[in-house]
Amino acid sequence: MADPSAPPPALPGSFRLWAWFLLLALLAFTFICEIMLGSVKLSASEVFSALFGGDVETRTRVLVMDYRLPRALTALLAGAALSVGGLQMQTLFRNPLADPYVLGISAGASLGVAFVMLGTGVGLGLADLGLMGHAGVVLAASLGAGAIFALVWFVSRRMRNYAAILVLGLMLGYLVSSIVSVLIHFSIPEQVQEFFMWGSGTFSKVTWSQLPVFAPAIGVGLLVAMYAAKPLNALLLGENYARSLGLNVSRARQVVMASAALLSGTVTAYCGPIGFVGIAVPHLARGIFRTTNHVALIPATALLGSSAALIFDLAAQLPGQQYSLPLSATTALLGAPVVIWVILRRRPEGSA
Amino acid sequence: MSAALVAENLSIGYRGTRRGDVSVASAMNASLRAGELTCLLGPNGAGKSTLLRTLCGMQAPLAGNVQIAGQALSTLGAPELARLLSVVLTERVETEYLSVWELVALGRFPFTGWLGRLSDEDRAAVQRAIRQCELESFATRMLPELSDGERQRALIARALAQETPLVLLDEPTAFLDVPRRVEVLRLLWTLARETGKAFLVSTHDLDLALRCADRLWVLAPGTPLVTGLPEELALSGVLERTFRGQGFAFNSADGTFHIERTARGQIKLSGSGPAAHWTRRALERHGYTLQENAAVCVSVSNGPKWSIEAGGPAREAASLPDALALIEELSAAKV
Repeated sequence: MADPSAPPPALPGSFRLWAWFLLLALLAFTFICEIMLGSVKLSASEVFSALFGGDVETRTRVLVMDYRLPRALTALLAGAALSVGGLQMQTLFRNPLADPYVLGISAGASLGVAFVMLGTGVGLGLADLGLMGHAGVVLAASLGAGAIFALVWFVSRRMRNYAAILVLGLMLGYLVSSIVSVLIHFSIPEQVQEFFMWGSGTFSKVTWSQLPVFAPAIGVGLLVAMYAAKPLNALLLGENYARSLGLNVSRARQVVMASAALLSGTVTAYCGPIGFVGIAVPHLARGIFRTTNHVALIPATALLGSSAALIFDLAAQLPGQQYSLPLSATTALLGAPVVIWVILRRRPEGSA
Repeated sequence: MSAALVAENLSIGYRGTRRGDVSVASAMNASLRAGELTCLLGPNGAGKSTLLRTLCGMQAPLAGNVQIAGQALSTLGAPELARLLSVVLTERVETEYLSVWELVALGRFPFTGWLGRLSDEDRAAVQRAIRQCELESFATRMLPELSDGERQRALIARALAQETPLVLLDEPTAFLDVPRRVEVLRLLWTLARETGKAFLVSTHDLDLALRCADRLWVLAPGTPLVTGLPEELALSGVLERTFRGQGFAFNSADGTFHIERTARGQIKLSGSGPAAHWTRRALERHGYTLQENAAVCVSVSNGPKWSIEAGGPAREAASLPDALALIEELSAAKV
């Protein structure tokens, strides 16, 4: 008979040390690439000198310190935030296709931004706010995202049915996009162009002066996500099992939703709606670590999400070229195959 | 033996629907004993699931009270209840990349800290549960790779790892083939004895429940909950009353279901052993009734061989289909 105190026959996948090292190495590599590559290619020594106060041209120093470094930090934080938010929503809704925007965040943000950028056409006269630059857009997106999330939050507290919350988010999304299309209809082409630019997302608009808000907001969101890792493990089995394990399900749900909203809301406000990272990365992390233990999965997803965002941003910049692609184009281009792969390799229901 | 659960004057149902409270069953009195396997039987719609949900605190009772280990269920918070009662539910758990070991380890949820780190004691409890459910060779397998029977054993192991004196299982044998049903109920019977826990299992397997359960709870629509030994309830006719239906009846004499058919004639059957038993079943299935003074006589002898005689010379049949054809021919001639 087996010794009852014997360790499990094999360590769970969360302890795959090599995978953790690989993830950290990938993140370091992509981070350095993001700073070195772009319309102008810099050498490693130039980047090192610029970062650590060495002897380097002022132009290079400005390029590294004022443009590429904040952009790389933004991509790193945004990738982690969207991926962890997506992981939380996929587990909470027990839906492999959920992303951090199911709570109405991106719909709300685009509504807010549409009013600011396109509002003049329908006599709202808010376009002046748009002239305030990026800060005005961030404010509008935050207000819009907050308003729609508040609505979802309010309704979900009275609803026990997860599918209904998903449908609610979906309906709000349709509602908002039809309002936006009315606004577009009455707008001049320049405004519409500006709105579409915002809608394709970018990591390049966050400045040093904004990072002190952006970074702590995401840090708090990630810490709360980690705090709610154990409840998410119980929720893998469904609400009833989770409750039978002693979990306060409605409180856990609120903590998870609040943290996902903070994470995705912050990113959307500062960078625009960035799709696919939030859906694809959690699936990749589960596949690499072969675990659903969120205590391991949340940091793994965050690391992988940071790398993914940096890779997407690099691809969008078309290094060495004069042109660049919209960020949303590369995330979908590289992210969609992953989602398709995940759907196709799911075994059919009851095939076991 | 002590009572792990006591239900007093319990009414179950749904509160506050448009037509007011909807009562499913009322005035129930029952208890569960430590170390015993109790099966909850009843036709569909009698309220078995509602009763189980009420007993494990997922649904408030309309009236009456439930005591678990001497404490009123209504005063227990979720964390306290999780240390007294564990469940196996009907909802499917198909999570990808969740191994059997990790699933069973989730049973330690009420005992671990905020990151869910397992102590040596927790690991020992997980390992013990896996051994008790004979899952040692499946420990690293992922849930979607398991068969239905293996998955059900893994869910039972998860409940065991929670180390509660009381375990409620909602139809753990549904969707399983017959050998797997026997396996699950045998496992629960053994676990009740080995662990001293009280198990309450709702099931539709009347025959298996009669053979495995230490005690039955029988719930039928419109009648109070009846509890007792399986044999006691069969003898008193409770099972017969509960499981009577259109065109069939539970026979208290032999503990099986009999399907009523239009009569085709009477047969006298002689012989013994399995061949005679299954010939009788075949005759009943074809609508014949057995009678001592019937005109058509069938005798089964070893081989097996069938000899059929109806007034004239006896005719022999070497197989059951041949015998049935002969019986049909001869009894038709008699009519």
